[in-house]
Amino acid sequence: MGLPAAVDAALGALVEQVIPCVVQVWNGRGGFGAGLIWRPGIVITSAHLLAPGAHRVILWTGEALPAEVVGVDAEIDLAVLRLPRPEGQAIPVREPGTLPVGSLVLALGHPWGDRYAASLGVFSGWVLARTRGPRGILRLLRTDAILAPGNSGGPLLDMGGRVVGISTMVVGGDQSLAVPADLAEALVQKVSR
Amino acid sequence: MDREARNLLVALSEAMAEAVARGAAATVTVDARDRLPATGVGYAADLVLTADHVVEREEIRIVLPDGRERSAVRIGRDPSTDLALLRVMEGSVPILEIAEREPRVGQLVLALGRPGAEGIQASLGVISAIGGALRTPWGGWLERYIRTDVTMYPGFSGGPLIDTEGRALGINTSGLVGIPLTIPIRLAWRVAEALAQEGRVRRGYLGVRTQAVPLAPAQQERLGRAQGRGLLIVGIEEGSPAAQGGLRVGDILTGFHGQPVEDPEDLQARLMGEVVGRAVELEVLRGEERRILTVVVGERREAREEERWPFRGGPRWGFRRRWMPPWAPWWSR
Repeated sequence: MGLPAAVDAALGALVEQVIPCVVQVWNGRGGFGAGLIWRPGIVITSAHLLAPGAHRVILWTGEALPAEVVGVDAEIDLAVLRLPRPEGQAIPVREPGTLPVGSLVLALGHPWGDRYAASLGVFSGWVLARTRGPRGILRLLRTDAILAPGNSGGPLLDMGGRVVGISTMVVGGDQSLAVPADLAEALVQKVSR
Repeated sequence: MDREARNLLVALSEAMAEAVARGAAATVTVDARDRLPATGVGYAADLVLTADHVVEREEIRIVLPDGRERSAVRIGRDPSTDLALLRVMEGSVPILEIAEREPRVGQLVLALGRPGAEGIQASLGVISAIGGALRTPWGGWLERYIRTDVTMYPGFSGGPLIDTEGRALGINTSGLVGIPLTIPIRLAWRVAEALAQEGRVRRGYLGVRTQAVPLAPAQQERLGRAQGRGLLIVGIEEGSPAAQGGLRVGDILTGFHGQPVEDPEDLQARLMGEVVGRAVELEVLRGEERRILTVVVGERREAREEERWPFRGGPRWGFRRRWMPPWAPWWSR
């Protein structure tokens, strides 16, 4: 097997391994985005996807479950949902600070409503974003993987299948930003305490 | 196989990051405009090469990869390739490593930039095309350029395009024709050398308008060699070196100082550098006969700001080099 074919096969295996962790989050108004099973029964997604009312999560298997919003942090655009039963497995997390610029990253989500699409790119570097919350300034991951509305809440993964960020701000054609995974981890810890 | 395959991906990812780190070592911030700073690369121990359009003021601040700041002055510029050379006042800058191999279409490449304090920025793509000569809106001539599908973030102008080993293939700019382009590294280095020596790039000027035409077998016989094409002279400017040298409309230019000339690009390439101001022998076919004419090559003047169609505006208007379509209304000038 040639090198490009081997890379192809490896990417396929990687996607196959992590895709069951990705879910669809429906907000009860007909809109949906992506979410990630962080640990059994806990789903992390983007805060801007949520709407007042009931939320539903559709698993990779196609099963729909009601979801309860247990934590929202609008400043970092993340929300934590709880499923009625401990579904799925914990996803390994990589400290984003250890990711060198230029590393390959894989983004999963449902761009433009296209379910379970993958896009590949590199970690382009850090950007500073000003927020109106208590943090004031936020460091976000920038990637050149193409993201679109519907990717929000989906994971950004390194080549070892570890999550480094949650896709959040889909600015347009050439800019894709993700919230670092350590902030997501902190939020999950806070709400599960 | 699964584990092995996974390791392959991790290794690829790490190799990519390694390449970025190598290229980043010689990629600096060039802060010479009021908006977002841009990028430059180390050309020599005290010289930084950057894009000309990002240098908009006299005080230039360079930030090295390790965060140290240097002040710099511009020692030369070449608007037709959009390159400028800066001299760092104190200390030194790391020098960019350049690729030995020629760029190839389909090759994986990374574009680097360091526009701000957040550190190096990178994006990945492939070389989409390697274009032949391009006339730039500045009245310039780019003999070769590279097109990629890499995302050029704001502030990437002046930064390097590197291969997967971290060696530079070219210098990125989006100020030349409005779309991001990469100037091949050999061309960029040659321009930088000229800028370091005399602060500008000398380009020769003959004053002819030409068109490539096929040569008949009888004409090739006159030349004494097999040459498929020559340049038909369709216009000569008054008082130009060509007029003084005795060229006429209707001549077919076939050789420039002993080298065959088959298309306008050939001629442009021969007119760069050393030949300016020298007498050269032009081989022409005039009717049935082959003649050698001696012409003193003139120097092409760079277009003045107001002549640079379709760029309008100038320092007088408070902004520079804004691209305007020719049908733009008068009040937008």
